[in-house]
Amino acid sequence: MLRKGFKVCICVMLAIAIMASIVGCGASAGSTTTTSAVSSSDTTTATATAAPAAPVDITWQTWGYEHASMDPAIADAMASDFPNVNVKFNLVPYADHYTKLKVDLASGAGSDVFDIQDGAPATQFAEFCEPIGPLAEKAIGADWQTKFTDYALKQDAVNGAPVGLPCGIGGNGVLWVNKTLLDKYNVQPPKTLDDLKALSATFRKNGQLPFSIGAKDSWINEDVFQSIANDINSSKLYDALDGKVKWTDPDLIKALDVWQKLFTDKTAQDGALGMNMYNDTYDIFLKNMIPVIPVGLWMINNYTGNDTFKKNVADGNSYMPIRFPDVNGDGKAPGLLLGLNAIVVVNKNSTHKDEAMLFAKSLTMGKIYQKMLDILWYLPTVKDTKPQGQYDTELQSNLDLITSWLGDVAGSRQIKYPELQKAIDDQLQALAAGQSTPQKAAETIETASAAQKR
Amino acid sequence: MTKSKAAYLYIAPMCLFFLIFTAYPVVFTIQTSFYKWNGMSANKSFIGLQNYTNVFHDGIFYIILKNFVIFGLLTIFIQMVFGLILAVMLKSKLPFSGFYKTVIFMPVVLTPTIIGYIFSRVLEYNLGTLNVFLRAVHLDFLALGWLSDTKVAIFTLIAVNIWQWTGYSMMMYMAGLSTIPEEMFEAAKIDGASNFRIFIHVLWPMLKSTHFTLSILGVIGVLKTFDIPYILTNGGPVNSTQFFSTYIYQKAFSLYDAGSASTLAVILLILAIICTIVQNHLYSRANEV
Amino acid sequence: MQNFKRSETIIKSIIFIFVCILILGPIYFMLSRSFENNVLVNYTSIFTDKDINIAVNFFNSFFVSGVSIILVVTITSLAAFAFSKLSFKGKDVIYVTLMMGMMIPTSTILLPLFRITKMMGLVNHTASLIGPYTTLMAVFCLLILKNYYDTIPNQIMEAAKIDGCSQFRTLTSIVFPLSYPALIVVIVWTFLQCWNELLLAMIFLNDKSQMTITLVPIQMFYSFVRVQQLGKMFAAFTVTVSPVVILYVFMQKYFVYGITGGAVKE
Repeated sequence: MLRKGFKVCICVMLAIAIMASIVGCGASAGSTTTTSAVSSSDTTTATATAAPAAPVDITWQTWGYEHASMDPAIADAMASDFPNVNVKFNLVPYADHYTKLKVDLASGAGSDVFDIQDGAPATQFAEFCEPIGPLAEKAIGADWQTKFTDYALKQDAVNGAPVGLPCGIGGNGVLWVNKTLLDKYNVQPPKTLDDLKALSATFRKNGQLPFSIGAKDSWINEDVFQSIANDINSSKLYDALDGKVKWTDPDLIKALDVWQKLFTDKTAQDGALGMNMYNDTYDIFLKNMIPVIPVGLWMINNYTGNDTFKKNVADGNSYMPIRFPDVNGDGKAPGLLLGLNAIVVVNKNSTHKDEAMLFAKSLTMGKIYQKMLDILWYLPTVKDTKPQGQYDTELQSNLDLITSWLGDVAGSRQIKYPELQKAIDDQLQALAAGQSTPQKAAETIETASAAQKR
Repeated sequence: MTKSKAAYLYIAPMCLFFLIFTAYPVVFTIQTSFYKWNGMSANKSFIGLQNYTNVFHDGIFYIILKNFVIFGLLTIFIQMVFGLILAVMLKSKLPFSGFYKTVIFMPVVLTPTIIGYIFSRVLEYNLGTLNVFLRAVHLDFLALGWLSDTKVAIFTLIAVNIWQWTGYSMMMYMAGLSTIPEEMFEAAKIDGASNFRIFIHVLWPMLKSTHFTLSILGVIGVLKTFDIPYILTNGGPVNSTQFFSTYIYQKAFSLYDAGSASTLAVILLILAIICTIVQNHLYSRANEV
Repeated sequence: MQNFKRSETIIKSIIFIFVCILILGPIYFMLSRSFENNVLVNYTSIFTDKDINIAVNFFNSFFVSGVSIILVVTITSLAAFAFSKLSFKGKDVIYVTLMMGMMIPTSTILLPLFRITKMMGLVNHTASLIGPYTTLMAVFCLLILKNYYDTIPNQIMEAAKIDGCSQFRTLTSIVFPLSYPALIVVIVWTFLQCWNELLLAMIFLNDKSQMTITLVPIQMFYSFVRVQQLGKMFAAFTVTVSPVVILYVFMQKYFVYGITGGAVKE
C-alpha cells in the first residue's frame, strides 16, 4: 500500500524539482549580471569618466531606508544627473547588515557602495573603504570638505582620514512623549528625573504602562546611560571611554546608580529586559499605550513616512520630543548624543569606483540627499541645506524644536571600542536585572577599559 | 562481503562534498583559532594558544557550559518522557487519535524562526498573550518574566524546545512500541503485574534502541541549536541564555573577533566528539546485558 | 470494567485535548495577528509588494531543496552501498570521519563556507546554498541508508552476481529500489531541513530575486525604523509556513514515516 503511493509521491516531487530547477535557472540567470560586475576583475574602469558610454550597474547595501520610496528617488536622481549609472539597492535588516558586510568583504566581494556607522564600525571597516579623498576631489571638487558641516567631518574620520562621505546627522539624548496620553492623566512632560519617576508612578497606578525602554537592545541602554552620565559629568564620560579616566570615578558610579534606579524604582516598565525597542516597545507606543519612550531624533521621520503613525495623528494623538530629563538637579538637560546617520563608503574592491562615487555624491549632497532631508530621514550634514517639505503645524513645531537643540551637543553617540562596548552593555543589563551593584559594575567595566587596545 | 577497488569510486562523490564543505571549513576554523583576526582584514596575527586561555578565563564560557548541560538534560529527558507517555496513551483505541497525532507532530515541520517570533510575542511580560491570560484568571503570581528574568529565561527556551519536538519523540516511541509483541503484555498481565510494573519492567527496557536514537539525535540537536535562542533572547538577558552557537555568532559578527569564535567552535567540536563516544559506550554497555 | 474503560478514555481525551490546545495556541495566535488591521491588505501585500516577488522565492526554495534532494539521494546511495556491501581498506576510518560531520553547527563554519562560495563564483546566487545543504544532509542520510542497506541480506548480492549483474547494476536495479522506505526518510528530511534553513540563506543571499522563502518575512518587515507592519509580517509567516503544513497534513503518513526512520506501522 505504501509502495504505490510512495512511487507517485516521489515522481511528483522529482518532477517539481526538475521543473523548478529549469525555471529557477532561467529566472536567476538574468540577475547574475549585476553581481558579476563586482566580482569579475574588470580593468577598464580606471580610466572611466563621469559619463561612461555603456550603462554601468552598481550595488548599494544599507539598512533602514524605506525601500519603496528609495527606488524612485534613486532612479529619478540618477536618471537626470547620471543617466548611465543604474543602482541596485540592497536593503538588509540592521541586525544582519554588518554580518553580511563582513562575510562579503572577507571574500573580496561586497556592494560597490555601502553604509557604515561612525564609531567602532568605521574603525573596523576602514581598510575596505576606498580612500575617499581622491574620488571626492574628482567628483565634487578640491574643496569638497568645505561643503560639509564641521561636526559631520569630525565624525567621518578614522585616524584623521575621512573614510567616506557623511550622510545625515541624527542621534539621541531625547525622549518622545505621547502628549495626548499625558493630558489624559494630567501629567506634564517631565523635566527632571523625579518628574519622570512621578509620571511612571501615576501611569502604573492607573493600570497603564510607564516610561518604557527596550532593554533587550544594548544600543538603547547605551543611549540612556550616556545621557545620564552626560548630565552628571560629560567630560568624565568621554574621557573614561577613551581610557583617560577610570570608570570607578564617583561621578560615573553615580551614573550607573541612577541607571539601575530606573529599574529598581519602577520608573521603567517591568520585563524591560525581555523587550527590544524595535519592534516590541515601539509597537506598543504606536498603539498609544506608552506615554514616554527614549527613542531619538530619527522619529521625526514618522510624520512623513509611517502610515500607522500618521493615522494616530489624524485620530487626534499628538506626539512631541523633549530633552532628556535633568538628572543632577542643576536645571539643565544633558547635551545631545549626535552621530552620523551613516557614512557612505566606496568599496575598495569595486570595479566601478567612479560611478559608485557619483552615486555616493547624490546620496550625500545631491538629489537623493535633499529628498531624504525633506522626508526628515536625517538632519543636515551639508552646509546651507535644510528640509524643504510641506509640514503641518505639529510636525513643523517639533522640527523647529529639534533644530534648536542641535547646537547643544554633548558628544558622539557611538562607542568606538567593541570590547569595551560589550562590557558596558553587559553591565548595564546586569544592573537592570539587579545582578550587580554600581560599584562592582564600574570595576568590571574598568577592567575591560584598561585592557582595551586604543 | 566482496572486496572491491571500485568501492572508492562509489564513495568518491560523497567524500568530495565532505572535503569541500566540511573538512576544509573545519581545518580553516582550527587554523583561525590560533590567530587574532577581525574576520575580514588581510592582517592576522598569530597568537598561539592565547585565544584558548582567554576562553577559559571568560565567565560567559562557563555559563555556556552550564546552559548546555541544563538545556541538554532537561529538553532531551522531558521530551522523551512526555513522548513516551503520549505514545503509550495512544496505544489503546482512542477516538480522534489521528487528529491528535497530526496536531502534536506538526510543530516539528514548522520553521524554527517563525516559532521564535510567535513565542516572543506570546511570552512578552506586559502584554503577551500568556501573561494576559494568567492575570485574567487571577493567577498573577504565575505571570513571570519569561524572557526578561535571568533565572527564568533558560527554562523558557527549554519549554519552547519541548513544544516543538515532543511530537517527534512521541512518534518514535509509537514506532518502538509497535515492535514489542502483544504476547509480552499478555504474559505479564497473566502473571498479575500491575500496569505500572509492566511499564517499568517490560516497556522501558525493550525500547532501549529508541531511547538511544532519541538521545543521540537530541544531543546533536542541542549542540546545533541556534534559531530559537537567537530570535527569542539572543543570549540574554545578561548572557543568561548564551549557547555555543549564539556566542560564536556574536563573537564573529558583533565583536569582530573571528579568532575567539573559531576557538569556541573547536571546543564545541571536541565536546561533540566526547558526547558521541560516551553515548556509544553507554549504549554498547547497556546492550551487553 | 466497562466504566473503568470509559473514564480512562475520557481522562486520556482531556489530556490530549489540552495538549492540542497548547500546540495549536501559538499557531492560532499567528493567524489572529495576521488578521489585524486590514486582513486582505496584509495577505495580498505579500504578493503585490514591489520589493518582493514571492513566487520567485518559492521557486528558489523548491529549486534548492529539489536539487539538494537529488544530489543527496545519489551520492548517499552510492556511498551507502559501498559501506554496507563492499569491503575496502580504510572503510571504518572513513565512515567515522564522515559521521563526525553531523556534529558541526553551521554557525561555526560560516566564513570559510562563504569563501568557498566566492571561489566558485556563486556569490549571491541561490545555487550557492546547494553545496552546503547537500553536505549537511548527506551525512545524516548516509547513516540512515547504510543501516537500511545492512538489513538487505548479502545473499542478494551473490544471487545477482550469479545472474550476471555487475556490481553497479546490482545497486541500481536491486538494492536501490529495495531501499525505498529509507529513501522516503532521506527525501522528506532533506526537504524539510533545506526548506526551513535560515542562517546560511541569510548570509549568502543578497538579492531579493535569489532569496529562499524563509527569508521573506524577515526581509520585508524587520527593518530598523519601518515597523508597524506586524500584521503583514504574521501574514507573511502564515504564507511561508502553509505549504509545508498543508503538505504535511495530506502526506502525514510519509512525513512521519520519513522522520521516524520508517518504523511506524499503521
